[in-house]
Amino acid sequence: MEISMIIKPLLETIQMVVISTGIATLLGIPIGIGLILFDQKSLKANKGLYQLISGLINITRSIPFLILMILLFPVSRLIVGTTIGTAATIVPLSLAAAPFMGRIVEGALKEVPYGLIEAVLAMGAKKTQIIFKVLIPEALPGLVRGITLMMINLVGYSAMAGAIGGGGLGDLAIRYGYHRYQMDVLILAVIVIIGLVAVIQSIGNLTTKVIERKR
Amino acid sequence: MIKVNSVCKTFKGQVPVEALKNVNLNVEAGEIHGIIGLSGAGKSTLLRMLNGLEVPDSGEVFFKDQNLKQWQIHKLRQRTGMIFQHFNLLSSRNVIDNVCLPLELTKVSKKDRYEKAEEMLALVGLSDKRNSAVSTLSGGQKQRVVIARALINTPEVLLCDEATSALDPITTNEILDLIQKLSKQLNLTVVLITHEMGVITKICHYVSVMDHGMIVEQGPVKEVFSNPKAIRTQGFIKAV
Ligand SMILES: Nc1ncnc2c1ncn2[C@@H]1O[C@H](COP(=O)(O)OP(=O)(O)OP(=O)(O)O)[C@@H](O)[C@H]1O
Ligand SMILES: [Mg+2]
Repeated sequence: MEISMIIKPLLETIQMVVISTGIATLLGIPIGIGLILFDQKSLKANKGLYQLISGLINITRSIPFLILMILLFPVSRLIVGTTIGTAATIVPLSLAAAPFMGRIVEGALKEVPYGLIEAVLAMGAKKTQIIFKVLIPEALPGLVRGITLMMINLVGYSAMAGAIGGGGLGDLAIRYGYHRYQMDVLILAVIVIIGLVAVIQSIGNLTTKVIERKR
Repeated sequence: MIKVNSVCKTFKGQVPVEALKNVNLNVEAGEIHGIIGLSGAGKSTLLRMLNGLEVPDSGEVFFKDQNLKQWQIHKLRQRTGMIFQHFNLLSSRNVIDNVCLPLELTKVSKKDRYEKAEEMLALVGLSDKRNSAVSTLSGGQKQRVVIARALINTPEVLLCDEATSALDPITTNEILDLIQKLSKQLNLTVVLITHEMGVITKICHYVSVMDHGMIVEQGPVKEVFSNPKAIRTQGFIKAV
């Protein structure tokens, strides 16, 4: 076993995780904001719409991740032109994570006390101002914690994606460890994944600490 | 300045609550008007009607002789300030950026915002806390920041919902003195809610006594308290 054989899969995993966390966050923030707005009496209450979005999120979250990825492969083919490799895996990873991210964002924004929103409404704020000057800044530590959690989940998901041709550390572990019985490679892959998760968690903790220190 | 005509409000729910029953109120410019009543009497609901946070089921609310329905609500709110028992300061901003917020909403330039905010902080005696995190302030200091924030866009009316209920008696007096001073200095109309008689007698000119969604007695503070007619008013006087 060569230690260098871990480098490329590691970089692939990092690439998949970082990009799909980015896309899932970009998609999840509007979903979460929408949920809050449609749920909140003085903002833009719309019970029907809330329940529709909420229901869709629940459905996607009940489908096992591996199966959801397979279901999303046609989208991958549409965007990237293939279903094999890191780039092709980023599409289903991001899309599958987005509804989950929407829930996380909703949860973080819900922590903002309603009195605070009302106080700023009483100053004459418009709804977009409430979103960008109250909800997001006040919920920032919670949002960062949520994004960190999502990113760690995506390390696991991307490893699963390895099983269906996604590349990365999961792919390495399955190809050598499972198909060729090379336990040393399998163990090395697992150790690197654990290390990666630890690094992500530390970066997340540090970021929240920096934000909260000023408060 | 403010007129409330036969306003009714019922909160629908499993058990509907009649929060306001045919309420009338008239507040003249420069007046400090107190609303006193027990918990659940409908004081907050009435106050929140005045800047459109609550909408009446029937009856009308007027601000400067114009029906609230005709006002663009955010324009009206920019001309009123509101302060609360629980301060409602943003933890994502330091003291001066909290004070600036109302001007930020109306897109006043950064330089003008800070200039005005410095002025407001000086007015409430907190210039030295300019860059502090709000979590490091005492209750009284927080309420001063809230007052500075509420008054930064020179509103004509200040609405106070139990602004001193979370404060000790000495700090309460300081805050009340401040409100009184600013009211005179800025010719500010004040409507304030309390359930403490002392607050009313200290700074209010007029008082409305509320009970179960109704105003049971209304008039100049001295008259109402020297010759209380409603049982609820007598109760408040006895309690002191
Ligand atoms: N959003 C709401 N939904 C349902 N009921 C409400 C709502 N707001 C107020 N109420 C009810 O209306 C009544 C009057 O409430 P309000 O908050 O105006 O009382 P208050 O006099 O301010 O009391 P307190 O001194 O406790 O603040 C109460 O019975 C309250 O439970
Ligand atoms: Mg109240």
